[in-house]
This record gives sequence, C-alpha cells and structure tokens, in this order.
Amino acid sequence: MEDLGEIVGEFLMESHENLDQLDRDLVDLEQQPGSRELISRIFRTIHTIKGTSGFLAFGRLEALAHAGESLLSRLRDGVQPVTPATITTLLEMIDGVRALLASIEETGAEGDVAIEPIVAAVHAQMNSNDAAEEAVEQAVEAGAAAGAAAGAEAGAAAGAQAAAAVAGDTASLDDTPRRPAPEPVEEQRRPIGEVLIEKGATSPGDVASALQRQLEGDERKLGTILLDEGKAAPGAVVEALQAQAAPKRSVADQAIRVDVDLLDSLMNMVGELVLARNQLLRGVMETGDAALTRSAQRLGLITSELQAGIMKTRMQPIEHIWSKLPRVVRDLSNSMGKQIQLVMQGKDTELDRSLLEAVKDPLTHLVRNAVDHGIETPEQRVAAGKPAEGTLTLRAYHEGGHVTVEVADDGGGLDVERIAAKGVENGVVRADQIAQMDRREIMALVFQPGFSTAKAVTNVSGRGVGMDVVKTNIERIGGAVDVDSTPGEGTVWRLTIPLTLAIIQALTVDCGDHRYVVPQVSVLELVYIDGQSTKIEYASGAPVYRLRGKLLPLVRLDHTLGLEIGTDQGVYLVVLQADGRRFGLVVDRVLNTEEVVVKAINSRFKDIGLYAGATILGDGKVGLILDVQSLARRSHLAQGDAERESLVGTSRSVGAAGSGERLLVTAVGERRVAIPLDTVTRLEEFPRTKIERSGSREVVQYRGRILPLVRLANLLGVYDEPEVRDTVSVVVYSEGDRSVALVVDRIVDIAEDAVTARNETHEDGLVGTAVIQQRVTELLDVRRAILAADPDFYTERFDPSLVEAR
Amino acid sequence: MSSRQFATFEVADQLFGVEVEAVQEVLSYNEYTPVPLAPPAVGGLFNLRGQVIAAVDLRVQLGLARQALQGPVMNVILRGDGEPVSLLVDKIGEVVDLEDDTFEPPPVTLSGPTRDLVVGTYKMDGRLMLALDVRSAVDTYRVTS
Repeated sequence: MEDLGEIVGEFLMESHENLDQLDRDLVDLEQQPGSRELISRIFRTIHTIKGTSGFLAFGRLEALAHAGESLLSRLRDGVQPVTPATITTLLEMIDGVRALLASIEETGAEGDVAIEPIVAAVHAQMNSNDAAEEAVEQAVEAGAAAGAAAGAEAGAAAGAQAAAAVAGDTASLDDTPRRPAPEPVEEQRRPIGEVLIEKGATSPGDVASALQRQLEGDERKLGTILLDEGKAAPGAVVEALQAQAAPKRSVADQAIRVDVDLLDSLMNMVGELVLARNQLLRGVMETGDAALTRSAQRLGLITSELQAGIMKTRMQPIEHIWSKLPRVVRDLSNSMGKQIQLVMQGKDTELDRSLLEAVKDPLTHLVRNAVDHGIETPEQRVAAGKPAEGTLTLRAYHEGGHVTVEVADDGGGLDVERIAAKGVENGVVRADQIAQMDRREIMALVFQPGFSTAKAVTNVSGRGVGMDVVKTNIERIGGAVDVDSTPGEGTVWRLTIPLTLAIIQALTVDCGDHRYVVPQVSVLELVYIDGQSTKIEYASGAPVYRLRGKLLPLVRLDHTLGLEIGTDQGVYLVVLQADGRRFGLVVDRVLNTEEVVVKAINSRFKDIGLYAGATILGDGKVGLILDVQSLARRSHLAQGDAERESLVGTSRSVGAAGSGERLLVTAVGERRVAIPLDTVTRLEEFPRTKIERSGSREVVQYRGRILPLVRLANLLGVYDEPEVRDTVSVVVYSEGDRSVALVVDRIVDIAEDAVTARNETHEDGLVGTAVIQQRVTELLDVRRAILAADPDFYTERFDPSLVEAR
Repeated sequence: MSSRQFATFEVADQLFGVEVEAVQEVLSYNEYTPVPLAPPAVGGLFNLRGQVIAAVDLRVQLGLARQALQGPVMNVILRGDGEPVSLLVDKIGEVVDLEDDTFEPPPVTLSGPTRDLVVGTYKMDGRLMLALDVRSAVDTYRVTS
C-alpha cells in the first residue's frame, strides 16, 4: 500500500500543476474559441486525470472528469461551439476536481464533495446545444473566420517583430500584444522571418520588406519571396522551416522536481568549497608553481560559477504566481459585469521561491482591487470616451538589484479628494494637514490601517483591511509598495521586492575599527560632513543636520553601539528611511555597495535590537547587518520621542489617547516654536496694512479693541530676513477681556507632546526644547511673550498656571 | 566498568572537559567580530566555512577577565541545539577515556560562577578535570557576578 501512497502523492502534485494550467488554457480558449490546439491540450489533461483516477479507484473524480471530457470532445469535434457559458461550466468542473483532490490530499478519500450538480450542469450544456444546430454552424463559420484572422495577425505580428528587431529592441517583442489573448500561445509556430533573422540567414530589413509585399497582395510565402529575391540561401530557408516545424520540448522534458532541502544543503557545501578553494589558492600562490597556479585559478572560476548556478536553482519565474490570475480576473469581471483584458509582461522575471510565496497574496489582492475599484463598468468607460474593455497590466522587471512588479489599470484613477475626505473621516489624518500634503502623500493614505474608500462594501475588497496588509506583508520581506495615479487614465500599484531573501544590496560602513552593513533599501542618500560647509549642529545636545533647509535628526552609530564617540568632522551621514521615520546615521566611513548573503544570527543577538543578521564580508570576516527599523525606534526612544511619525510625514491622529498636552507648532524663521494649545484662543491672519503703531509697540484693531502684537522673531532673536507677505499669521491669546497676539511666520501643525524628554534651556523667551515629530522644537515661554506684548497683562488678574505654561 | 570520552581543555590553568559527542570540532581562529551591546560573555562572531558562529568567552563565564582576542584563540565548537556555538579556551588538551568510578560531585568548597558550570570532578593521574555542563557554559545570559 505504501507504493500506492506514493503514486497518489505524485498524482496529486501533478494534477495540481495541471489544474492551474487548465484554468489559464480555458480563459485563453474563451478569447480564442477557434484554437483547436488549446482544446486538445485541455482535453488531454482532463483525460489523464480521468485515467489515473480510474486506476486509483477514485470513482467520483473519474465520473466528474468523464463528464468534462465528454463536453470537451464535443468542443473538439466542432459539434458544439465554445461559449462563455461552456467555459464557465468547465471551470466549475475543474473547481470540483480541485475540491476532490484537496479532500484526497487531506483525508485520503474523496469525501462528500458534491459532484452531482456539476455533472448535471455539464450535461445541461451538452443538451442545450444539441437543439441549436444553427448555432453550431455559425460557430464553425466564426471559428474559420477567427482562424483566418489569427493567420493574418500572425503575419502582422511577425512584421511588428521584424520592425522591433530593426530597432534593436528585442525586449519590446511581447510588449505589444496584437491578439486579444492575454498571453501568446506557447505552441504557436514561430514566424519563419523571425527564425531566419535569428539564424542570421537574412536581415530584418529584408523580412520587413517581404512582409510588406505580402500585405500588398503578394500571395507567395515569405520564404519564397526571400528566396526569389535572393535575400536568403535555399539551405537556410529549408533549415528554418524544419526548425519551425520541430515541436518545442515539452515542459516535462525540461524540468525535474528537486527537494528544496537538497538545494539548501548543496548551497552550504558550495560555501565550504569556496572557502577550501581560497585556502588552496593562497597555498598555491606561495609555491610559485605557474602550472599549478593556473589549475587553481581554473578551479576558482568553476567554483564561482557553480555557486552562482546553485543560487539560481532557488529562483523561479514570477509566472508561477501569476498563473492563477487570469482566472481570478475572468471570474471577478464577469460577476461584476466588467470587460477586462489581462496583459502580462515579463513573466519570466525570476525571484527566490520563498519571496514568491510571500508576494502571492498581496499581488492577488491588488489585482482583485484593480478589477473591483480600478476599472470602471463598460458604460462608464464608454461615457468617458474610453474603450469598453479595460486593460489590467501586470508587469515585472529587474531594476537596480530589485524586482519591480506593477499592477496597472486604465481605470478612473484614484480620487484624491475622496481619499483625503475619507482619511479625515476615519481619523487617519487631520483636515488642516491635507492642505500641506501633495497628491502622492494623500494617495499613500490608502496604505494606512483602517482606511477604505469603497462606496459600497463588496465581498471582493473594500473591507478596510487589505492595502495596509499588502504594505505590511511586502515590507516584512524587505520590499516596498507605492501607488501612482492619473485621474481618468488609471492607477499603477508598484511593488519593489528584493531578489532573494538571502542576498541583499547593502552599504558597508565603518564605525571606529568595526565594519557594519546597512541594507540599501533603507538608504536615501549619503552626505559628507566636512565640518566647514556641511556640519553637525546640536539643539540642546541633540545632533541634527540641516538637510536642504530641514532639520534631520541624527543618530551616532558609535554612541548607539556604546563605542567611543568619534569626531564631528570628516564623517558621513547615511540618510535612512525606516518605519516611517527619516534620520541620519553618523558613521566614520562609507566603503561601498555590494551584494551580501544574509546569514541568520542567534535570536539572542536579534533581541539586542540592533542587528538584523550577519554576513561574511569580502575579507572572510563576519559583518553585522544593522536593523534599521529597530535602530530608528531605539534612537528615537533614547531621545524621548516615542511618537511615530506616520508615513505621510506630518499626519497624526489628534485626540489619540495620550497624556501629553497638545502643542501648536509654528515656524519662526528657520526655527520651530511650540505653543501650548490650551493657551491659544484663536488663529488669525491680518493684512499687513492693518498694523498700526502705538508708541514703540505694534497693534491692530481687533473686534473693537486694540490688540498688542509681539513678533516672536524679535523676541527670540531670529534675524532671518522675514518673508514679505501681504498678511501676517498671529496666535491670539485672550484672558478675560484682554488679548495679545503673537506674530509667527507660519502655522505648521498641531502635535501631541506625549512623552517628552525636554531639555530645559535658559534662553530668553523659551522654557526648553523638545523633539516633536522628529524635529527639534522650542517651547515658548508664553508668559514671557505675553508680557513682552503687554507688560500690564497680568497686573489685574494673575494666573499662576501660566507661569509654568510650557 | 563503563567509561566516557572527554575532550579536555584549559582555562586559567584549570583542566575542563566536555563529552566528545557534544564537540563538533576544535580549531584556532584569528578574527572575531565584536557584537556591541551583547552580553559580556559573547567574545564575538566568526566565520566557520560560511556559517556565522558565536564564540562564548569561557573566561568571562567563569568570572574572569575577557580573553584579549588578539592573535589566534582556540575554539571548542559545540554542536548546540540546532546551531553550533563555540567556547573560547586557553589551550586544548587531549581526548581522554575516564572511568565512571573516578567521578565525584563538585567539592563543596567549590563556589562562585564555576560551581554553576560544572557537573562534577574526574580524578585523573595527578590532576583534576572539571566536567562542564555544556548548556550553562554557552548560556551568555547566565548571571555572572
């Protein structure tokens, strides 16, 4: 019986693969009802499942497959046309097979999967068409027409290909699908022109001109035209014809199954081989024997290639996870009454298999979302002057050591205003923050937890979970996700994924005598600090750097690691973005960018919260990989800022639980000054012309009273050239019937000062500084400011709480 | 009479031993990567044929000063639970066969960190070998006073 168990296992594995292929083939068949090739392939697959299940005595599975086979044989023989209804029935049949297989896998028996309704539906399909002989005839005609069209299109495609080849851009070959099919049929014969060009037997220009002749009515075959005109040698054409006719090797001949554990152990052994080779090389060099050195170097080369080859075995084309998507798109768009064509580009792009698994669900979610919300209904599309059929494009390509996967639709695009409104409504962002956010920042709100813009909650997407989960899942594997959209033209969701989990692009840096590795994905830029034109500044002891006018909080790596503190000159800043924060890491030297192999380290070292792993550096020493996320978290905690700036930069939900007070953050020159919100009565803008003078003081008339002004810039000693504007922003403080106004350059934000590690300063007009939203912010001494505006303010009523107002 | 095989090594002139089954290999290594903020008993990380191994400084575990880690240092690499761990020692000794009847529990006068790390004493010709408890010996989070 054990043998049988193994056979069943093999049967299951093989069938699962076949079923995925079947899904794709059926969806393709719907697009090209005339393709006999597709029907035959589907028929063969179902036939195999039927045969094997009969042999293994899975009666119900056999019965179901048999029903499907009967329907397929009618399609194959042209007795019955291929209609969307037949495809749906066949897909249901395949789902039934899948359910039975799942049950067999789990329990070893077929279980109680209900196949009868499916079998009945299949029979109903067959009978419904028995009566419709006319339909069959029409279908045959349509099939013939489709066949002819396919032929003509093949020619046109060859022309396009030849033209593309002329342009020297072979990559664009599959970028312009002429056929309605989402992907070209693999078994289709390759155009002879292409074969000839590939063999160098003729030039692309000659093929293009020959194709042009065909289009103009020349009925000779392409090869004949080329021969007659002496553009190609007879031998070459015969060879090309044979090459064209030779069937491609089937997938089964090209691939075998290998246990992943075996690959992993091979990988380790190659690692040892590399080390042994290095030792051998050193030894051989010392002997100075030329012949021996040559052999050793040759051994070295082979070892490197072997290592690269074994790395490659873990890579799989992204097609593996794309294969289910045509079916998803078809079912979903049908159920929603939408017409959607799925185009896949770059399906050969390879990724480490563990990453493929991790990307699968987020990608499926994005595709479902695009079908559900992205692409409009045919009526809406036609009304907008677009073709009724929408296009969903999946694109995968390598870019700078990463793989980019795009899900692009040509739908209505994201409604920025609605996202903004929804964001405010759900408390993801505050209304006054929206004004300061650009389009992309607002669009990024959809990745915030608890955000959903779906007008109606459907069973497809729009449950408010999803996009944030997509983001979390992608970030977990060291990737990133972002979205871009043009109103009326569509939306592009872009996933950036590292090539493998095991190999990352990394920046090696020195700190003191030690070398550390920073994952490149977090690195935004590098800044050299010479101490003259670029320098580190301190805001009450907290190191900061003015990066294009904005203060960037700095983290000294030596300090964080508890090493000796180095100098501030001749050092580098690695500007990092992680966990929604941006900060600069101060290191002594930046060496280079390289690909490093990530090695696991004991979880005890991970618990330190600084290291994500280790790697072997070029000199054979172990280098620690810094955990940028933890570093960000840890450093900011050390500075007393437990707040987390959200992705969009400034947004934080107000009124969130927190013991801290709310602060109004204003800009005064280059400085940020915070004023406790409970001391603020109103914010006003006054026209510059309304400011009058009373003695040495500036005043404005405000609600029938005289309001004294104090310019914080003067009070705090900011001598930057003030912006000349027509209006001035003021913060009005009132108590009883007295009011004063503090003039600031700009209102920046409202922040909650939850956990503060403030530095008490004794600078005039300030009570201290704090880090708010990662920026050094000075806390205004409100009492002092008010007294500057109106020395008599407190003479009548003294409010002791203001003395301590922070 | 049953006997056991021990791999022996010296730290601060004291002979220690672990059962040979627990030992993967013994080698001397030059370059250790320090791990800042790790427990003091972590001597560093090194590259063993592509694998990253943590070296535990047995001196620190025994309450002594750290190894200087300059020049080659001897490692006794233990199989550990799933991943190898190395013990940094002063000097490697021989592999010895010891009869069970030469075993005695640690003397009551033995105290301090060493007491927590040894399971007992084997009486050899002219000297004593302390049998290490492998698990506690590599536990860098053990409180060493």
